[in-house]
Amino acid sequence: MTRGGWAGVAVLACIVAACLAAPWYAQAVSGTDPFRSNPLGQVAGRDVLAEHPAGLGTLPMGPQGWGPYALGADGLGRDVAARILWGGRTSLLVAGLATGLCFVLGGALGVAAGAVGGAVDRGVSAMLDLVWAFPVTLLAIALSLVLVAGPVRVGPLVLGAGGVAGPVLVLGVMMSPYVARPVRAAMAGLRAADFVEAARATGGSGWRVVWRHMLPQLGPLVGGLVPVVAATMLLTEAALSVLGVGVQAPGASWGTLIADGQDLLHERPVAALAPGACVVLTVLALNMLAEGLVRDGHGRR
Amino acid sequence: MRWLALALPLLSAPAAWAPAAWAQGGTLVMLSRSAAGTIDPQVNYTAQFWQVFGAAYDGLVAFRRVAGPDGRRIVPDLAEAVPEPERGGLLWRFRLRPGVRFSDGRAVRAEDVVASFRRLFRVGSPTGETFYGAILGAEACLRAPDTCRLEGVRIEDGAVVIELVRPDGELLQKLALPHASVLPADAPGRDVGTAPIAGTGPYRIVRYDPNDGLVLERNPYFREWSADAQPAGRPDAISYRFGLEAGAQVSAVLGGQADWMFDTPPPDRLGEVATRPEQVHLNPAHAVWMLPLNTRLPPFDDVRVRRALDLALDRRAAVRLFGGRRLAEALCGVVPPGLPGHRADCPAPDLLAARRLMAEAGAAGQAVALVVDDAAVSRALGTYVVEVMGDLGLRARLVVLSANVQFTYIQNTANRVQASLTSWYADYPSAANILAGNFGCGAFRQGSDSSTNIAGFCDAALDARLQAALAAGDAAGVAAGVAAVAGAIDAEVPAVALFSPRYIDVVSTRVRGFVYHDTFRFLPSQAVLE
Amino acid sequence: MGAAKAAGRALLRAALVLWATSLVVFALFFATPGADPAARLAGRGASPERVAAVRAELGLDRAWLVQYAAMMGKLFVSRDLESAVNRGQRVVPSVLRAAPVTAALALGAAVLWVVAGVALGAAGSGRRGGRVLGAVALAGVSVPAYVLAELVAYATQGPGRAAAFAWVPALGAPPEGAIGWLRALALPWLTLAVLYAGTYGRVLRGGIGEALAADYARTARAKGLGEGRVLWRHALPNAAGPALALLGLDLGALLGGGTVLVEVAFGLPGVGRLTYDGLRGLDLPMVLACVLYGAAMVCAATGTVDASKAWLDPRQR
Repeated sequence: MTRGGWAGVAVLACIVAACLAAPWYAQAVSGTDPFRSNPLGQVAGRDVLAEHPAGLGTLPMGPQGWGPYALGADGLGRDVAARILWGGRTSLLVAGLATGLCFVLGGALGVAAGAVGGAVDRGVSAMLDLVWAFPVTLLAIALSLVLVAGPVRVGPLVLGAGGVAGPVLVLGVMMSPYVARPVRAAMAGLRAADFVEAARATGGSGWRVVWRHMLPQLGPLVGGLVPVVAATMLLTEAALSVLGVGVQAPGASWGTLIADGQDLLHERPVAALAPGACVVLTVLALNMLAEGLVRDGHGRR
Repeated sequence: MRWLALALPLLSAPAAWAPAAWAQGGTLVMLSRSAAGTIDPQVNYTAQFWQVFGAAYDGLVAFRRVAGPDGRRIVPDLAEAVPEPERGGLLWRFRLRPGVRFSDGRAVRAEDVVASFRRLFRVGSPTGETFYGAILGAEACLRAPDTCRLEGVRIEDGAVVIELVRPDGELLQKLALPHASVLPADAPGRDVGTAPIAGTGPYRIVRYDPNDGLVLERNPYFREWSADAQPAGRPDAISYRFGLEAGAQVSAVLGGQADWMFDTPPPDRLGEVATRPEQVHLNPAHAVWMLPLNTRLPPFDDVRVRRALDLALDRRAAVRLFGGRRLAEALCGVVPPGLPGHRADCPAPDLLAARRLMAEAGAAGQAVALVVDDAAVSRALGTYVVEVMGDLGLRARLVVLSANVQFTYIQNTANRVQASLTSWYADYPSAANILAGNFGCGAFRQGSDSSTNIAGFCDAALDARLQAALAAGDAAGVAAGVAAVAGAIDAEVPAVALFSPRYIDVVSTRVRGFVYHDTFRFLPSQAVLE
Repeated sequence: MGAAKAAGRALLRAALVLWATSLVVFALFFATPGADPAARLAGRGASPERVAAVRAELGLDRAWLVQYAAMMGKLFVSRDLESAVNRGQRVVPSVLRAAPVTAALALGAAVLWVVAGVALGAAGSGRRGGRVLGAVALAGVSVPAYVLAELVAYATQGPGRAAAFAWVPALGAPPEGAIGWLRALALPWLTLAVLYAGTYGRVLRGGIGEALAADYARTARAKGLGEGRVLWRHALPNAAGPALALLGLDLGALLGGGTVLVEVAFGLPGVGRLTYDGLRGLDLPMVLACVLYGAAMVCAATGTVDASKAWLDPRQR
């Protein structure tokens, strides 16, 4: 792997480590419970959530530097920094699983459609169009109303209002065309490529050619798609949460922190920008890692 | 050129102290995120469009169109005078003012009034039962709207007579609301949707597209007949535009591109708004934000658990989460300030006493779901309340539902909602309206999406006392009776009141005349534009 | 395969997708507890009889297959289907009026981001500086759309906007004429382009790098073609397939209402806002019309991409 790739690994490891350290940070540095609202509480003699000095509305405390409320308070008087670390756990888990599901599902469909072609291709394409056109918001609203009464069992999975299974499933399936269609296009292009025809001519069986000669060629494409899909997952998870499917209050994820922070954008922009920066950092680190892996692959071939 | 420069301030200066009548004209631009449904004044039941209907339609009587408590006074509108009831409050005789015309040029006749009351039932006005159910024949009309005859509203010697089957101390207030608007007798016998009906007010609706906007122009046949009931309009036209988010509305109004916004400014724009005090108006909303507790399901079927939550919740926290003391007033009873039965004292929370009550009730460890809508402020309040429930030993969780579904969802007993966050904005400043709508037996309906008694609280004796209070002859008697009932209901805590909000109106710098009416809020027809 | 046959198949596929989508919307709506709009329409505190009457007026008391047939008939045959929230509002003209706004928004932005994406992809396949530029663009992909749109709208249309943005039309004012629309759409286009350019730059970069290393590129270089020509004539067309597939998806989604956050932030009356409002109000007729329009756009965009690919790349014919 290239040096850039290792740098990506290092950054990702730091992010994961920081998120794993969330309980320690909340206790030792922040000193407040990040899941406990604090509308009237005081920290260091200052209101965490004060009446706005201009006379209307309220104003959460701004960034304080290292220590309690390092990045200020949110609309409920909670420590934003501590919540970002806790939220990272949810985000990385949900986005990681959803991205994985998306690539397994989308990859399989794309490879099948692109490698086989014909009726399989047409069937898969129609299905992908259907998934892509699916009204996800309507599904989320419906699901949230169904989940009010309690968790729903779908085969081995248990979908609960606050669980990760719901968002992972919805996001993974919903985004699968975004992987499947470009993979299908790449496979279709490869089918006509000289070296594949040569492999076929020397008597390679269909799936062997696909496995040995075509799949490795998808490296750069997948490497390019991973950060993009992960970014979408990290951001879209919030839309589901706000509708009632996914992490629920007082829990947090980067996406819901951004959504909450939007209501403070003009007064305390850090509340939305800091979790946003975490998403950007994660995506860029993933990009470096993907690039490093793919370049490495090139070198070896 | 120096003299010209000197003259300029002189030219523009008089506007500031010119008499209001001088400054008529211009188009008032109003903004809202979305439209509010049908434009039929007898069907639409939203504060957003009632505000508009006030400028386009009239009833027999009206709330006086002035700011402050005087705006609660009933004055004659299309009727010549406010009659004294006959036969112990059962018979009301209205004589029409001559010379009033609809916006299509036709004169208003007694037949139009009779037909309008019949139409109210034919089109299925939502308040047909609750507000006008006391009219003779209303019951048959509610059962079979298509064949509605409504014997109780008829013409006798050229006067319109309204006959009731039981006295109603607030009948006049109800007649002053848009659902009792007088429309032409040939108005369609169904909800007209987006096609406006002719009215009598200073403006007529000329165009309505829920995706775009609502336009009102001057009614060419309007002549001011009573400055109290329906004063002449100030702006030449009113243009209501739909689609901008609340934040963008703030930008547009502060930037002078629009004159008024319907939606509440987002929390992070309030500071900016507050720097323009002359453009901000805060007024009482006669509303209550509260947590209805289902008195028919555990754990809140035990009054001690309800009282415990009432004791444990810190109203100051709720007020702060809503936007501070200027935007909300803490409330420890369900009647908002300024109305009979309002509980003025609001003690500090007492967690110890609350925990004692919980221990007595043995309710610790029970699971509770609090259902709130997805507005930011509701989620914040819900989060706080769930924490307090946790402090009391309940296993509480927060459930967030889309705002449009939540209100009907929490009403239906089939959904078995234990606790929810909701608000009630009174149709007109009246404690009885709030009490009957939220805690009256008539407002509880098993298994229906339309059961505004969300707590399922029905005490027949209290219900009878409320009806008796309303039937009292004089206003003071009504107030005393209603206040006593309110106190008795508060003691049972079917809902934990949190606060009473204030309306915040943000206007552009060119809006000089701003009249806030107790029932219709900001009166667009009275806005003086510079 | 003849072009007519291919077009016929694409149309059949679109019809199937639309039909399945409509069924899904209907099924979801009826499976949702609390979706019934009757009580909301009847008004606060309406009597149960009144709620039942509204339900009957809307036909909600009939079997759902009957309702489905009736609604599809009103949507496609008589085209007089009305909203269940804003009664009297016909959904077909509403969608058709909103469609051009969204189309102009999505197509204009697509031009920008494709140009930017190609430039980023070409630059990034070689030099390190290009890769850094690509990373910056990728950061744009990870920015929450609403935050970006809201900040841009506030900076350019808010009360304290700089004089440099005096040309931007007032918030909520309906644009007039071609110049007016151009002014109104310029910033939304840029905002959308920032959100998408990074994706295309990144995906193209991988493909171009791969293609530049391939045998035919080496052959071309050996024949004495300049690096630029190799890039444009050989590498880019070969790398374009996956990016084109993505373009079909993104454009389809945006044309069908995926522009909602940008529309709302900039006050543009497009399909996205219509869909969003319909969904929030659980306005089944409006949702149905919007979702089907969106599905049609997705099918049209992916179908066009498939057709153009076959046309562009003779090997796949």
